[in-house]
Amino acid sequence: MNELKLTGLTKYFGDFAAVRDVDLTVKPDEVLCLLGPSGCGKTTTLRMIAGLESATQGAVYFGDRDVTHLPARDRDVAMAFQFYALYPDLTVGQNLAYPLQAEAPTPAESADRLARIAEILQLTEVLDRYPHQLSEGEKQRVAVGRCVIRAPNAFLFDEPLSRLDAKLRDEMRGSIRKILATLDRPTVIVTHDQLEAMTMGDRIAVMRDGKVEQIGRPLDVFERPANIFVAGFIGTPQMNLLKGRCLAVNDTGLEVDLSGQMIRLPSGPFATLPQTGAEVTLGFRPRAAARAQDDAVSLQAARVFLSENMGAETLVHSDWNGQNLRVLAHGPGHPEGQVHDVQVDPADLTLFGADGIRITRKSDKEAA
Amino acid sequence: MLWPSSRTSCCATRIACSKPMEKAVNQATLPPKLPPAFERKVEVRGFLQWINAPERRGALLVTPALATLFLINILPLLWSFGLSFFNYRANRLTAPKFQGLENYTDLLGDDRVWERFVTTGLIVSSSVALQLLIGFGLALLFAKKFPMRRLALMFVLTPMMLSFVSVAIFFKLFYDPTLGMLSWFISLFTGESFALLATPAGAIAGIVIADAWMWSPFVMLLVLAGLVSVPGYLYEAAEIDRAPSWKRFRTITFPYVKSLLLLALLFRTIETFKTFDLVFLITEGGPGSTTETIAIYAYRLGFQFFRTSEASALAYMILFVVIVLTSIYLYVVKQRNASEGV
Amino acid sequence: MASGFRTHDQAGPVRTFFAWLVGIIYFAPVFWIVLTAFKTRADALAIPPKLVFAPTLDNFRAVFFQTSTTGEVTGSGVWLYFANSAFIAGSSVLLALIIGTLAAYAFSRYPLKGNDTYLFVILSTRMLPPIVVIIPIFLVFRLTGLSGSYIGIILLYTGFNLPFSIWMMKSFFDDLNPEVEDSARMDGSGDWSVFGRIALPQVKAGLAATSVFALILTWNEFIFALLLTGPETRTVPVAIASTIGGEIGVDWGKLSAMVSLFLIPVFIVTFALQNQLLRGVTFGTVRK
Repeated sequence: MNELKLTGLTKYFGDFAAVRDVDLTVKPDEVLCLLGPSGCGKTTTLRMIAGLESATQGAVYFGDRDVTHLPARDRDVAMAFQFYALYPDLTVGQNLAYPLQAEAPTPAESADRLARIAEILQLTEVLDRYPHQLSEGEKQRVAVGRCVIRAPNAFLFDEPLSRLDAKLRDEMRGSIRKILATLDRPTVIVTHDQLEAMTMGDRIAVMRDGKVEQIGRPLDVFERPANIFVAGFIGTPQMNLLKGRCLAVNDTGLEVDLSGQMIRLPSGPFATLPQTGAEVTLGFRPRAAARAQDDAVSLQAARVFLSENMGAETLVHSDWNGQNLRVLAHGPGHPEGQVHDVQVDPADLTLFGADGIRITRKSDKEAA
Repeated sequence: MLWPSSRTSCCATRIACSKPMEKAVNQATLPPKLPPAFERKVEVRGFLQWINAPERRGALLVTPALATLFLINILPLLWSFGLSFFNYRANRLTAPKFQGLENYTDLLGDDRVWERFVTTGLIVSSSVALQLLIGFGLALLFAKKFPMRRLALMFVLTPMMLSFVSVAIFFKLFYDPTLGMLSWFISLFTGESFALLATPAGAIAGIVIADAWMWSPFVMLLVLAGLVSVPGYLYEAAEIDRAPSWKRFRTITFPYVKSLLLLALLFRTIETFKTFDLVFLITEGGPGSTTETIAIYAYRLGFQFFRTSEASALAYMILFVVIVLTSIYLYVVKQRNASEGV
Repeated sequence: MASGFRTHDQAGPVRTFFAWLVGIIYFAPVFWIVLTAFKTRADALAIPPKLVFAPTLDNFRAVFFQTSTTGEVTGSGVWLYFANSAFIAGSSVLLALIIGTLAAYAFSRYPLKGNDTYLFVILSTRMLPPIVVIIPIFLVFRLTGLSGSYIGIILLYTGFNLPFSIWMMKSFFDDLNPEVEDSARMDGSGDWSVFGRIALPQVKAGLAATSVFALILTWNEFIFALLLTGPETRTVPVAIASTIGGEIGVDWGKLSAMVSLFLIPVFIVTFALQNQLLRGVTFGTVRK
């Protein structure tokens, strides 16, 4: 099967650059999640792949074939829309079978495929109903079914789960994942929900302001965010990002001034080092604080101003020299006003340079 | 796999076969050796393909409508614009003579024209004011649920769906000095019959009442739409905040109704300004010419005095006013849609 | 009413009383005409006006049949006027609806350069005072012999209904979710099939409302019909108006019967269209 490739894909609406210079390759058996805040250009990118939006610059390839100037109907791409876009005047069965007319298989094969899809998605009972008679979950399944009933060049999903309630969403996430695993076609899912992206995607492309900030496997993006934006966007609760200045750098360590408190980090693990005097940002996950060892970096005298008990864990918000710290602690018992020290293992620290780009570690290569 | 694995991408094959076809068309049009009938066929198909191209779709769909409108509305308009610079009379055979702006200057200098404008202005302002006032009151009255509200609404909404001819008949009968209810009712007090339409002021009142009866439901319809669109929780919030009722009306209700009221005002002003039928049928402009609106005067100029060119010029002056009002109307519509994200 | 005018607040008895009173006052003139249609000549002329009387169908008979001095009963011309009104309104609305729906779809889905300008000009032609158009139209019709012909008046009404159809249908197309059409496109349908199989079925209610509205507007139209129809193509409003021209000798009973018949389709439509009335009377510019 052919891979899906985008090269330098760019879209301007007037003067506004909705998508800027996106390069992506999605392998036939791969699911790529386009993740980003609303207005980041992810849906526009998807629509350009679909052929519903024309590219200002750049190209879309299916394999070696440039389809940039092909209209949607000739691209043979299946897409599930955010609002499902079911045909209101057709029954569920007719909706599911609609894409087949272009492929024109034999009637027997059509019926066969329809029956199989309906069974997999548990729609057999409602085949004769009209969309307005369906529950939200059923509508969503019809939208998915209408996609997967054919063998297109690529599958595109626009916020497939956004309209479902929390419980249904958990269920559907699993079943869509299962169905996608059986399709050897490049698949692109647009979502603003990082949980969806982390669990459904083989790889994630994080977008902001029309640009792809980072592409990688979910865990890679989580553990080694390319820059401050990705670090802050991925992961709940949000990563702590502390601004500081690099005071001294030598072979054994680097000293960072964080709001007046000196932090000493071993320089060994870093592949490159910031220059003396450079602005840096130190990041660590709220969960990292809980597992700190003896040689941890200590952020002293943080004052708790909000304590959110979430059952098994407590999210403790503290003020530390004017910067916000979020720490996940086991169990309850962090009253507001309490002063505590926050310990972080240096291995759990992510260092960002003055340009916001993550300073790589020597261990990155092995991990990748 | 959900589908038989033998199926491959059909896109590839579709593209593959469409390319040579295009080529075949090109080749067919080039060498002149083919039979002419075949060539013509290709030409027709080529034309159809050209006209059906996706980038031409919008234009293709719009063309029949624009052509029809051009033929039936725009072209006559241009012609009458041209006429307004000549001294053409439809009942004479003499060749029309160009006379520049003379028709316009004549009309503007003519007291009779100004009198008609004043009459029209009087009818428009009093009728529209009455419509807004009554319409608003009706909407407030009908903003709540009561038994058979749908039927009562239909009773009130019927007048604006009626033909001017029917409305004129109703009111002619109603105002009739010998048969009319109005005359009978007044005679109970005065002992003599009453002819409303016989006096200038009475005739204008007669027209205004008929027009307001017919169109106040229009205002009501718009205002009612605004009233019922006010979310209930706003009133609940105001209740909790203990806002006095006049303040609730001013800060909650009125903002929802404001733009619709403005639209009603503009729409009715445009429509009433060009009023012809109702006045023509109820008073025919009389007594004398006291209820002759500008539209009726233009009609008389054109079809009774056959001063075709002057009538055209006058029509253009009416048109100018209407166009200005229409663009304000559309501006308000756009603002409203933008603010509500319609 | 539909979602548009639904309200949950219950009115008190005073408001209910006044609302109904107003409803009855508004309907009274119509009611009076219908009543008069069933009165004998003597009852119709009675002073004070009679509310209770023995109803008669004579006036309706007089509308459609005339009795000559020899006692022979023949159909009157009114049959023709009603047929003319129906035929002329029907065909012009059909034409305007077909052409207008295509254009409305284009204005909604494939905006042209200067889309808003086109739409403004189109609406303006509908807002035109009839007197502006009628002078040159009258001259053209006289020149081409279209005056008094069916084709002439049908064409004119088509032009008259077209702006209305375009604006109304555009407002309905604008209400649709364009993703549905995108989806059909992705499923391999061409533009025409998307229009015919996906978009059009979704605006069925809109098509119905637009056509019925246009039918009523055309059915009611007076001034174009007055000047541009001939004896053979005369419509009902012109026929009615011609009977009230003279002050003396108006047969109110017969006239009322004719008006009542003329009003029947209007009533039916007003009742059926309540939900779309707002959109209809504002040419689709106000939807809610």
